Amino acid sequence: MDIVQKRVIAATGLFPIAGARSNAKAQLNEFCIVTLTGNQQAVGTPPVPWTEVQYTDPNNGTPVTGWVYDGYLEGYPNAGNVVPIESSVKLSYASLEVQDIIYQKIKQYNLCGEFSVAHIVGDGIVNLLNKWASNAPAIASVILAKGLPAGPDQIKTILTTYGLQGPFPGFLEGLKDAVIGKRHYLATPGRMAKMLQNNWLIAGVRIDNRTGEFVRSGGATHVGHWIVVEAVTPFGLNNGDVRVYNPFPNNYQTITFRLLLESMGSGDPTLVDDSSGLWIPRSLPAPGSMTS
Amino acid sequence: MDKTLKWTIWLTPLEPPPSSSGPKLLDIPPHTIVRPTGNHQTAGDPAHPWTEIEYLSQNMQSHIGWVYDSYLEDYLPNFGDVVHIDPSVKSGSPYGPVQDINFNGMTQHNLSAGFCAAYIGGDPIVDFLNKCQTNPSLAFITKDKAVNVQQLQQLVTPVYSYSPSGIHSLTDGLNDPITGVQITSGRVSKMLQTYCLVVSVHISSFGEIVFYDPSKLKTPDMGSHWVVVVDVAPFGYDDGEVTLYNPYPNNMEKIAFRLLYQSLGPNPTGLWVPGSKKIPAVSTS
Repeated sequence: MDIVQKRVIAATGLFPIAGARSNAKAQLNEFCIVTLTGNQQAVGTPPVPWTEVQYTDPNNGTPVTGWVYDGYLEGYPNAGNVVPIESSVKLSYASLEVQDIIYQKIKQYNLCGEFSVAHIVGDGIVNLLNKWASNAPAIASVILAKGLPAGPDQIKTILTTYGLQGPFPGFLEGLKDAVIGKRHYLATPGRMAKMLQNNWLIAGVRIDNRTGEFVRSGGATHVGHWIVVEAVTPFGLNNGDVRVYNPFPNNYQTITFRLLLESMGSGDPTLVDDSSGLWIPRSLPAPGSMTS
Repeated sequence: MDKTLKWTIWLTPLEPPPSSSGPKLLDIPPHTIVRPTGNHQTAGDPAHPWTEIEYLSQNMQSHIGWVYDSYLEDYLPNFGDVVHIDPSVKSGSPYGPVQDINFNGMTQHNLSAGFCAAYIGGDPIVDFLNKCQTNPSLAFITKDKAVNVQQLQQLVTPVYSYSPSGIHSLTDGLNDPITGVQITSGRVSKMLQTYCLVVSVHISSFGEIVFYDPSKLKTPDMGSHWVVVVDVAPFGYDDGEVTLYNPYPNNMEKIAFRLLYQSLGPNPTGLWVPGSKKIPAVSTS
């Protein structure tokens, strides 16, 4: 039987029997992913459907099986696997944050930069980390041993591991105009679409660390995050569709151009600067061509 | 010759011909739509491209001059004719909104609800408005005033013979006896198998659906607007692709479910109208 995962849409209990309203074995919230066991029951008058699921609390790693009213469950149709993740390093439980893996014996929470480069060079995440650790041990070991996030300088050393030599222009440097110079307002849909024909953009955005959702400003759960911008299709006035690779679900997404710029500028598109991203020439191997 | 409308990416100097040496004519505000005349020049060393454009200032005065090309980008509106508009009532503005037609001796600026109802019923807009004219209780639709959800229900019920009991409010349609109201991509998708959803969203001054932002209330940058949601394909964490009819460009659009959800504002308002409208044809101008 295929493993079916669902997401929980609102806070509820995981109950020992179908139809129960008390003695919950665990509390679930809207950020939980559960795995269906295949058992279902109809309970009550009129009868309503309940489903048996297994849930693992990330804090203690212990799986708990119980019953949830069906109305709290919804499909989760993007088990992303764009960058190959070897099963040996995957977490033992379902998580919205697919990019979290076990590497060098610790849980890595901050691999968005590494996943972004892996997508660009078309390699699996474990291969990439192994090659980086071998090629730039002084840098990689510090980052990976402590589970730290990679900044632009570290990302450049991963690119160098794959034989890619800079300079990798900063976000506004890559959009500079011969007459106007380097200005935040040159980050337009048309100009970025043109640049993306020959380059990838590794962009620094803000996301909600519970869901991976792009956000515009600094809430308590909002954190910095690297993604890969693949293409912009302009439409309307200063807007368009943006196709991105997001390491959080390890999948592609389409968002609006305005949301991208607001997320890059922490709510204010005029605040984007060179540190907001790195342009990587597409003269590199296409994604997938180096997949192990 | 490329005469695609352009928009200015920032404060843009409007100059005399680049080959001459006169003073700047004026500055065009950022994000203004301008019309190329079709004339181009290169100037300088190295040579840079310049384009001649017409700019209409706020008092509708025409200014023609030259702009350095990098200040301009193509304006690509998604205008269509999904609800047919008779040419005799069309607005003369090339910039939209397409829904602003001339009817009842005036330009109508608040017809999004009327266009949504006409879209559901499959009528050309003039036919729909004429049907409303025969019912005095529906005369409000051509008074150029905003339409609330009760008036929206009044529009679709008698004109298209829906039973009032078959139409549900946005929240009633998503209510569950145990979980209560949950506006999720999966639930909306399921309802759209047998209904379409007329819903109030927030749009920019160019008709683009935007996040609800209380700081922009009652400013020209954000306004309420009725659209018809016809399909949602769920994807990821409560996201997915939404297909909807937007009266502003009078065309179908696809947007992310998260954008739709965050555009609803603090009091989500809408109506579930019986009859799925999934898989509509996309019309382009």
